[in-house]
Amino acid sequence: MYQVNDRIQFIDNQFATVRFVGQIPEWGEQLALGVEWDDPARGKNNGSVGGIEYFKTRQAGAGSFIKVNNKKILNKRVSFDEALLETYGVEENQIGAAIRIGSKKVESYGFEKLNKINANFSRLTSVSLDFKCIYTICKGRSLLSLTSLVKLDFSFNLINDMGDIWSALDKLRTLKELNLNGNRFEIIPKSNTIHGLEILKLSNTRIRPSDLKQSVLPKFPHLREITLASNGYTDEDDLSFNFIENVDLSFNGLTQIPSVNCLSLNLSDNKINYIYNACTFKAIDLRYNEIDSWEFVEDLQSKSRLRELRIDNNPLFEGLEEDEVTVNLIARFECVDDKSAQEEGLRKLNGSRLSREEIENAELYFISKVQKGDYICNETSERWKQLKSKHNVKDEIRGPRLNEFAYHKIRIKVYWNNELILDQMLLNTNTIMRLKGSVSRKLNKSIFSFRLYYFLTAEVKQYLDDEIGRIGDFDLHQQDIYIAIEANHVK
Amino acid sequence: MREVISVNVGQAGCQIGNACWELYSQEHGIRPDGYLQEGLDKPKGGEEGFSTFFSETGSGKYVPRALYVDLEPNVIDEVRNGIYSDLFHPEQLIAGKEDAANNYARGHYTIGRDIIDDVMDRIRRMADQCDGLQGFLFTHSLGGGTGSGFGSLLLEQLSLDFGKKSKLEFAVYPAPQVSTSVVEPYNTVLTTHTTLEHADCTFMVDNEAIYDMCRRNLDISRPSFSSLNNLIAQVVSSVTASLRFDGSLNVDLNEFQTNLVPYPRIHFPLVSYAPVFSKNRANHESNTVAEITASCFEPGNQMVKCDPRLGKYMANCLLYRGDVVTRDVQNAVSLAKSKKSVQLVDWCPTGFKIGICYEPPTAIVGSELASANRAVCMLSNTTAIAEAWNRIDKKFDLMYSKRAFVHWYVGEGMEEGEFSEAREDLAALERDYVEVGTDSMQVEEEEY
Repeated sequence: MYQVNDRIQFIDNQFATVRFVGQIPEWGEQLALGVEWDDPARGKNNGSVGGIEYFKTRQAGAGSFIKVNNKKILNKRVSFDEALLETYGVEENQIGAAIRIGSKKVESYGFEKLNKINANFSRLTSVSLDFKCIYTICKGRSLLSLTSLVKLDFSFNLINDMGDIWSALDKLRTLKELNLNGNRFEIIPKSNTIHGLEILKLSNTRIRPSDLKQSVLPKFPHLREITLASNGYTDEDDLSFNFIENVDLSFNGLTQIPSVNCLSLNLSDNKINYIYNACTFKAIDLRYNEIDSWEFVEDLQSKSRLRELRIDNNPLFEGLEEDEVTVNLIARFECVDDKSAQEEGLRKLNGSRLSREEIENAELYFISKVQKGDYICNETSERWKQLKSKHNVKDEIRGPRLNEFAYHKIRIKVYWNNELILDQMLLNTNTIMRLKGSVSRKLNKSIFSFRLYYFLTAEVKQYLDDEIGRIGDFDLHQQDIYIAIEANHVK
Repeated sequence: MREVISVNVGQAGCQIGNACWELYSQEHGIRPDGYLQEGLDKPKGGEEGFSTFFSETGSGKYVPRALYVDLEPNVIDEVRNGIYSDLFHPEQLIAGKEDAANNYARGHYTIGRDIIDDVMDRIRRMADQCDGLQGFLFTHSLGGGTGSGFGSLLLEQLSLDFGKKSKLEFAVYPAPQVSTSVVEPYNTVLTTHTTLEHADCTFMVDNEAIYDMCRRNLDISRPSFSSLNNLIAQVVSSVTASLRFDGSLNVDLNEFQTNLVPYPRIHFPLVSYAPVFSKNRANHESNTVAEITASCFEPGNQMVKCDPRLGKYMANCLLYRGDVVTRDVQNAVSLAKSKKSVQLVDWCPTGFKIGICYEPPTAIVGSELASANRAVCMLSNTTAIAEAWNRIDKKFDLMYSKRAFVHWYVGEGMEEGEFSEAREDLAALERDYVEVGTDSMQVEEEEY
């Protein structure tokens, strides 16, 4: 039967760890399992029911209680040997002529040979055993026959002891790539032996950085790539490992760029908007973060020597044209084209290589825009000086300069009856009339039939009645605007 | 020995050729200088398949059986000066001096005529080196001047000189997103008309579909030609995998035709490929056999923008690659079968075939596409692809109704009648597709 720390899979491919086995008063004699879901959203509590705490979940709200005979539990638990044999070993497996599409038989070619190739374990180079409900390596006799295995996909299984994996690895000396995504290891012992593994995937395992440092990484001195996505890391976690070429920390909760010793760092889908340390890596992926200022970009430029950058899909670029974004990025970094012999410089921006014309055009356009005051750039920065000297630009031949903030945009949200009816980026220089016009179109009401207001304090309303006033004259930054429809206004 | 000669014509053709040969040499373990990689004593993937695409010189160097032709020197110069320059023999790279200026007539009549004899000469010499030439693999664009004009001229000549040999095409279908000229619809219609009876099987690659895939699946906000070409190369490699490795289905060029082409004119199979996702996302996407099979039936993974749910399949080939097991394939196909949208016409003997190639796909170095240990490529002859012809015909009509830009073509010695003739041929092609899509069983009751 189930023991504490056992892993269970459900028929909808959800996973959970058993944290409590016993009876609870609510179900009388019935044996209950207290489980912690891998996906906290599935949970109902923190391990307590009816005021009694049976266990404590590690993630808040991830716990719930299920009956031991719950129909959704996948009651399959196999050993590594069984899974391998079942998946690759069976020779008589055929694509039956039984499958018909319309009036046609499905014909298959080459599958007898495939079965033969697969059944010969010593020749397999890639084995995928994902979602196979493997709960133990057990004797692992078949491991010894996998003598040329290079890639092993072992993701989403039920093993909870990393020691099992260590002993398996001792038999798989040729292995170069191991995928352990989606497993949760309760026990992570140190290992006395080392292994030549090059690629290790540990996404969605919630493995603690301390365990990584003490038990996992020392075993793999030749590691080139490690994937630690969806592990719930925050800024408090110490992620300073020994040098690894590629590190993937996507889908975590980091808000600043951590100091990781690597060449290429994937930080997409975090909450990054701050840089603290100088960056040693040459390539970084910052997609889907919370970068909202060009200062961040300039900061990144001054603190790093990047060759590749991905930074699209951040709030900073919302409402900007693709080309505008590219111009701004090219100009703020020192870019080199593909054929350039130059060592340093950004070679790949948002997944595309750049051509020389593209770079020069962007830089010149950027300079002219900054001089007009349309783009804001830190004019004391090294990069700006470099740009000016490269294109031989003299200072101060600029025309009458517009307001510093002319190019700034404000995001306006308008509510009516607690419903968001307008969410728009407007220029600071737009008039209140323009805003009212947009609202009137949404409401399908005359512009004179309503008033707009926002809250200065909790009680004090500030009406936006000055229709020729500019939006920038009011303090509307991060303010919600509401609509009042007043009887005397309605015709 | 069943050799295949690859012919890359025009800017698009040559650039795609570059991406393809780069990938082929990686897949077979050949270094950029043509010698085997360290630690290999023979090329990867079986001698038999390998020698269809590469020839071996006495010194242990391998040379692609490929020819690059362009009417202007820029792109070919890039090959000559690129890292793969040593892979090719200088004889294999032919460049003219004056470009076709996006004009079919220049490529086909004026400029093209000057160079055609030289090109045919080289091809004949390459063919002479083969024991048993199977045929030719063409790569060109439909929209460019050289690709459309010279490409069709060369195909005509090949038909004359090598009548019995198969000629397969990879044709890049133009798209407004990555357009270089406004006359692309003219070129496309003209070249399709000319090659319709000379090519045996044409795999179209719609730039718009590839562009969208790059944006959506690879998350590249401004895809460049090299991003597009890397993806196209991966697809081309999947289609040709069964020729190059010990495959099981479509192992020679003839078999492509017998499996996919029920009528000589209906020779435009739709290609779908999965999985396509970016390197940095590879860990968050699973690519089980069931999932990659299902995505092959999704419009988002097709190389041509059209909706196969609105058409009917005449033939369908699923080609798996890499780490798959029979049971998974069986389940995946059963799942695909349960979809209502998969409908086969009843009259056609070609059916639903599944094949396997045991070598896994390789990722191009520096490409955004993630490497996967398995992939599937679906070749299907569906009536839905007529949508693509319909689209280009409309654009053609829009310009031709006002005779816009026609003078450029007439100025190069083309007769205006060729325009209307080509357009009528395409209209007939569209009608052909409608006709094959209707079921045969409607026996008319006799009435008097």
